[in-house]
Amino acid sequence: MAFVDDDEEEDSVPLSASGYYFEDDDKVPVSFARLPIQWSEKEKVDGNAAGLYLRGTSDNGLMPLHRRVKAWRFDLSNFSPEISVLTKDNVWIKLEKPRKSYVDLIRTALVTVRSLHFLRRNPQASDKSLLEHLSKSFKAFEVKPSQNDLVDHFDLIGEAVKRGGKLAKSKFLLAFLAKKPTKKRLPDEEHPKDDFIVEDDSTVASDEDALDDDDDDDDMFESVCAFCDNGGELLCCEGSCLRSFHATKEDGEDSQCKTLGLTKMQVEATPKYFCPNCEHKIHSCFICKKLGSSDNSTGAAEVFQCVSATCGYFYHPSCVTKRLRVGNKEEADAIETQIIAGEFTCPLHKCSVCKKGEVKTDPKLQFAVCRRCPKSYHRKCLPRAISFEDIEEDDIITRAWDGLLNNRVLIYCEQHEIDEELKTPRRDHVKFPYTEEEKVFTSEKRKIPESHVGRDKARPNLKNLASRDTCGKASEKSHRSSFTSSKDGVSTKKHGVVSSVPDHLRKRKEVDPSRRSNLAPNKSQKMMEYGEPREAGKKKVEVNEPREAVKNKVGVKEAPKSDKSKVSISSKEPVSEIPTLDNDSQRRLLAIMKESTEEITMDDILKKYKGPSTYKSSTMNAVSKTITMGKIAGSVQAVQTALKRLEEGGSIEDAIAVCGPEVLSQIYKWKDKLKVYLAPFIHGARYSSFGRHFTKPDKLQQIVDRLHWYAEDSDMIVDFCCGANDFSCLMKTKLEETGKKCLYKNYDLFQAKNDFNFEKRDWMTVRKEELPPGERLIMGLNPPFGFNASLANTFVDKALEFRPKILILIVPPETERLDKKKSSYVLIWEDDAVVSGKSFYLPGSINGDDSWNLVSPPLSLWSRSDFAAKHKDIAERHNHLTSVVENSNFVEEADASMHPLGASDRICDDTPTRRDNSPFENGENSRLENEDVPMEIDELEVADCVNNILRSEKIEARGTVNHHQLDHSSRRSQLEKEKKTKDYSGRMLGKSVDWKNKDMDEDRGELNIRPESSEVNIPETTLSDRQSPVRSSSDDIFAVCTSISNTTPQRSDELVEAYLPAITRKKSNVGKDTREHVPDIGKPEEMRNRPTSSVRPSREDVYTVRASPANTGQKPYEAFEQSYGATASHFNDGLAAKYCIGIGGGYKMSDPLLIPDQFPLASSLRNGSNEMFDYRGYSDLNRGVSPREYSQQYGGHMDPMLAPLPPNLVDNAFPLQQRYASHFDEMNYQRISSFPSQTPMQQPSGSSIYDPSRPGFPSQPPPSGDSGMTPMGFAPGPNYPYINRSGGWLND
Amino acid sequence: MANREEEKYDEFLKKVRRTVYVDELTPHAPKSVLESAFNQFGTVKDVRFLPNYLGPKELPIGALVEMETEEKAKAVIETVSQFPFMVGGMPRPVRANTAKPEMFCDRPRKPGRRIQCRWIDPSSTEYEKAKKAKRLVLKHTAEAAFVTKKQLEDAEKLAKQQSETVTTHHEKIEIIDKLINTGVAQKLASRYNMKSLPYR
Repeated sequence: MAFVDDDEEEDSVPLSASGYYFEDDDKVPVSFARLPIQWSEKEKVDGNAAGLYLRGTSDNGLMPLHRRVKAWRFDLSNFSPEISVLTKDNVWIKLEKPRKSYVDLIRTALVTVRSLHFLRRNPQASDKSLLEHLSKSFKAFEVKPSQNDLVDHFDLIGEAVKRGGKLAKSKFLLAFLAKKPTKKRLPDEEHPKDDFIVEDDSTVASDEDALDDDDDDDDMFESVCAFCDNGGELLCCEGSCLRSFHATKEDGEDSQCKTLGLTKMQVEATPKYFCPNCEHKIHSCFICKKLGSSDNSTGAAEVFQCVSATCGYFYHPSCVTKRLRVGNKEEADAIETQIIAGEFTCPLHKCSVCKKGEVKTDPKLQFAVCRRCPKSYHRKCLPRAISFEDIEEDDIITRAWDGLLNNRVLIYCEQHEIDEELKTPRRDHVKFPYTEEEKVFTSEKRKIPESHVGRDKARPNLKNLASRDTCGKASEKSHRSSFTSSKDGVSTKKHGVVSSVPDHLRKRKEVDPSRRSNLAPNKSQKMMEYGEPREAGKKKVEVNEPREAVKNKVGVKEAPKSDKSKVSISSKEPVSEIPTLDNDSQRRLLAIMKESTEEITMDDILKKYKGPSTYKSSTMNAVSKTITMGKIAGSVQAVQTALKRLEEGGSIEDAIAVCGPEVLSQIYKWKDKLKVYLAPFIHGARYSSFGRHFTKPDKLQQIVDRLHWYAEDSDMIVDFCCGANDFSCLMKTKLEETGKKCLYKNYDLFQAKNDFNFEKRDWMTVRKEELPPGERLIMGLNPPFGFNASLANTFVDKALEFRPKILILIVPPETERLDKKKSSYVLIWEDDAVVSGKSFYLPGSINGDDSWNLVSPPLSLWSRSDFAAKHKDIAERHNHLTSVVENSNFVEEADASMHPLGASDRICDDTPTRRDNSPFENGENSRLENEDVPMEIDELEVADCVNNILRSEKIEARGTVNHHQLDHSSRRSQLEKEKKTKDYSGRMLGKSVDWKNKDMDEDRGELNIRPESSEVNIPETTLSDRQSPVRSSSDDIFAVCTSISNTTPQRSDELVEAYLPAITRKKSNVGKDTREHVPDIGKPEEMRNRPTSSVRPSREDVYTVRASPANTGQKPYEAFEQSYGATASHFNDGLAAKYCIGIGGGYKMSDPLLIPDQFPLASSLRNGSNEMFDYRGYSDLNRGVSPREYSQQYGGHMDPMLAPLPPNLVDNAFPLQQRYASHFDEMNYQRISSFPSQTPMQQPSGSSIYDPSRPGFPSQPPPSGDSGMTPMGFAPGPNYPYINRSGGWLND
Repeated sequence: MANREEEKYDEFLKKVRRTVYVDELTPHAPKSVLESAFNQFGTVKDVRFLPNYLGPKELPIGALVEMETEEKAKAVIETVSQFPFMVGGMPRPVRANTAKPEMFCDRPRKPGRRIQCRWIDPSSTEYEKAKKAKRLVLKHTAEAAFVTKKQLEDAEKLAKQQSETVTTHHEKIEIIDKLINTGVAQKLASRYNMKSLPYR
């Protein structure tokens, strides 16, 4: 509804005003709402009465404006509402940005217009979603929009609604107007929100509404009943016709719809409804209305469907040609062929006046479509006779309705006579096959002319007839037995055996097998009823009436006799088997059961289980009934056809007629929704976490290591959404180490695993008095993100109320920045690397692979402005600032996501290396200081990275060496040594291998890019290139390797044995890798070394450090054990599934079949368990190496299909899994001290169960029901017993 | 002696109090799954299944999840009854309740409780009482069996329905996947100049 027609005035010069304000004659600013409003062109307002001056600038601030204005208007038809004012000389000036100081004055008017605009587009919108929308649109306002703002403009709203159109349909507005709210129901302006949101806590509400908004736009398909063309509660046909119907009489009451005549129960019991047309594949031609077979599988179809995605109509080819008046026989033939080929768009998709297509986004070019025949007009082409309202004098009755169809006008074209009472043409257009007898609909008000329904001549063929016969009989039977007593409204009138059964019943019987099984009990129950009197008479002495039985001793004895067969309760001999019940008690029980079933309704349950805010229950419900197979199949078909047309040289318009872009995006949306819906079925086993995500403890440790510098004595650390409550504990440990005493407070809605200062409480309910003053507060961490970070925002906002001195946040990037708020907080540092990638674990999630996992939420530290300087200083001193993100590249991120950080506390908080200064020394120093291995390497230059890697490796190496006394006697190949080093150091670092490799990867990427490394770009040498950093420290490596070989046996004899199978497998992998790499290793050493010459000095450093073996000496074993145990035990948890989904590619390669069963190196490997680690590390190394191109490599991780898969990439799966597994392990605080005899090899095979080619979905349909609990679908956690059990088959 | 017995029983009662009785559990959820599911609320000390004494043997009635402390158990019950909590499989929230001593088959004898057995003569008045009790038990057994049967039927019906829904949805998503995987959708999108496809 455009209140104003766009007209010629728009063309005149000053179109818009910005920075505007209005003032009256006394130069006092006033709201433009004081002006009279001009509703339409016709109603000119008397502009002389009031007059204001518009001040501001036009033309992008170039021209100062000072005009007298006399009226205003608003236009809601565009994407955003437009407000214009009319100047004295009748020029409309569009208002853009008001002057800042003026905003408050016109706030209410803006809010009102915006609300109208929103409500017009979403007539169903609730107050909550309106509020959500308003708050979004008016973020900048100091006062949140509220209903009070609308109250100010009550008259305006009333008038707008009166003027009809979509606004009149808005539930909210009608309620609002009916209520006649007085202003300021809540005196407290601070919480205007409460005006809208009454009971729900706001987070849930806003979140749900956000999702609802999302749902709104998937209504490209008609959402009106096929019978009566009215909206409401509809049942979608699952088939290709894309129609919806009023299912129950109540639903169709408003429009006197004849409805499908089902009961509520029936509707609920129908998982998917097929209308009789789709069920039998007999549809009626939209032109001649005759039924014909649409089943083209035999080539015998008579009617064909329009290919357009959103169009469900069928046509006889001949009808179409006739209608199009194709005189030319050949042309007609051509069209008919096209129709039969299923590639035709029906006449409905061309305006019958201008023959142009539809443009949904342009209101003027939107279509008005006839609901009775394929006739359509552009809005602009609509003939006058098709009017939105009755025009008495011209004898025109309403034929067009806006707002029923999405972006379309619903019309009945002039060929259809409008029935005066129905307000629509006769409703005889829907014809179901096999209905000779019209259904009797008990429409009290009038009889709907129905006589045409059954009179179709399009008889089905003989065979169909026959089947129909039996079908009819069968269903009749079922009908009788099951529905006699139901107050169904379904006619039981019989006109012969065949026809007596309403179609839907028959259909239901076939579609819904559960129905059928229903029949048996019903029947028997009925029989029971019949039989009851007799039996009752016979046996007065019921066993289930013990009182009687006791009274009547004879009865007791008789009981077994009288119903020998039924009640085997005998008083004589002890009965071991469970006796059967007699009918009476059965009936009684059934009655009780029924009663109790009826007591519980779905609504109650939903009410009771108010899902946590991040739980998208609303979407889940929406999914099942609206996304029908027909729609999907149709859309998919349409997409294909559209592309085909384009490829054949058709115009874009042509293609859009078949399948608009919105259809395409809809398909993606569907996919999302279906995924959400299916998630519990697919990942059901680990679906036990309320959709939360926790930060992994190792990441937390990093954060703690950084954060603790800022804490001071008697500060309070508040984790407002503590999850597992690890953060505070880690923080406490750290702070106590450094001699600070702090307080802690942790909140979460759910019981945390760790009780440390935990309070199970909604963060939103925490009051300011409960916590110490802001100067002593360090607050934050990882809130639930919510849709579009809405929850994160609320959490942060709440936190800001306390004015803490520090806010440490892991929030998605789209969260509103604190410096954008009026909160005077200063960003000290921000780092999107720390928690990049898979830094979180979801104890079961519905959307494990969703975006926030891919886009890493940055970790940021915010300081209250008065603390900012101090904290900046601290940050500088500890080099935290380096990590402020400037160039986070995707590569980095992607890779990081593949390499979750290890949990070793060796990983340090500090970022020792800066881009610009000598990273090495810096790093070294800080390392010495902190006894930590540097880790913030994201921004490092190649050399730095290399250094870091080397260093960390060497440290480990050194440690090992010292520990085990060097033994250089080993004659391993270089390669092997290399592997060992890597692995070993990796192990020592406690999975920080990832780090290194990450660096290496990055390294390599840069190396490749660098011109000087071009010499090593021969495919094979990429490997050597890659390894160069390692190579440069070969001495150490060598030492380490040998030492490993010596020491391992001492350490893990038992392990070796226990793990033999695994080891051998591993070996095979190793061997394979080796074989692949050996050629590279020998010669290009120097070349390899070249690019990393900067690394050299590091060796010395390393050696110096070696003097302090305590740093590292003991570590390896711990880490080793940890990871080892983890490897062994945790793989097949939900993690695998999760990461399978999350990473897709990473797991992709885990097909065990690819792993060769040869052990070329086996003999040279003395220690299996070491080999395993070797292998692990090595594969890490390989990962970087294998793909030729960097981009490919990452592509490979994310989507393996893109990159050619070198076999050694296969290995990637292992380290990943192991890593995750081990994290998991730690997460659960379980230390694995004994190693179950599990082979890590199982892991890949386990993960390969998830079809990697389609990340996110298993290849088979998900197992139904609870039987879906296959071993791979496990909840995360240590599942040793289970693993042991599953070992057998996994090993195959 | 009595004292020790009492102590033991007290100990047992404490254990009962920190135990959560989990109900409406899929029979397919193994111990490990339960353990990890409840591990997020606190350390799980023990999980044991209640054998179904009356119904089909393979259908455990529920499970007893022993938490570390009584408070944890309470918190778990609260959380689980407040929010739908899935353990293993289909969307069917489990129920949690306080455990009762009778649920433990290995419970120690209640101090002071005696069980005496004796024969009753058929002519004694107590004979009828005993008979009555016995019949009542049998009747309850029968009733329970009947109800279980009905419930299983219902559950199966529901499962069928659910699985049908799931299969359909899965089919749908497969169709979509096929379209996307073959690149048709992307091609068309690029033709339309659509930039913001939600995927890739």
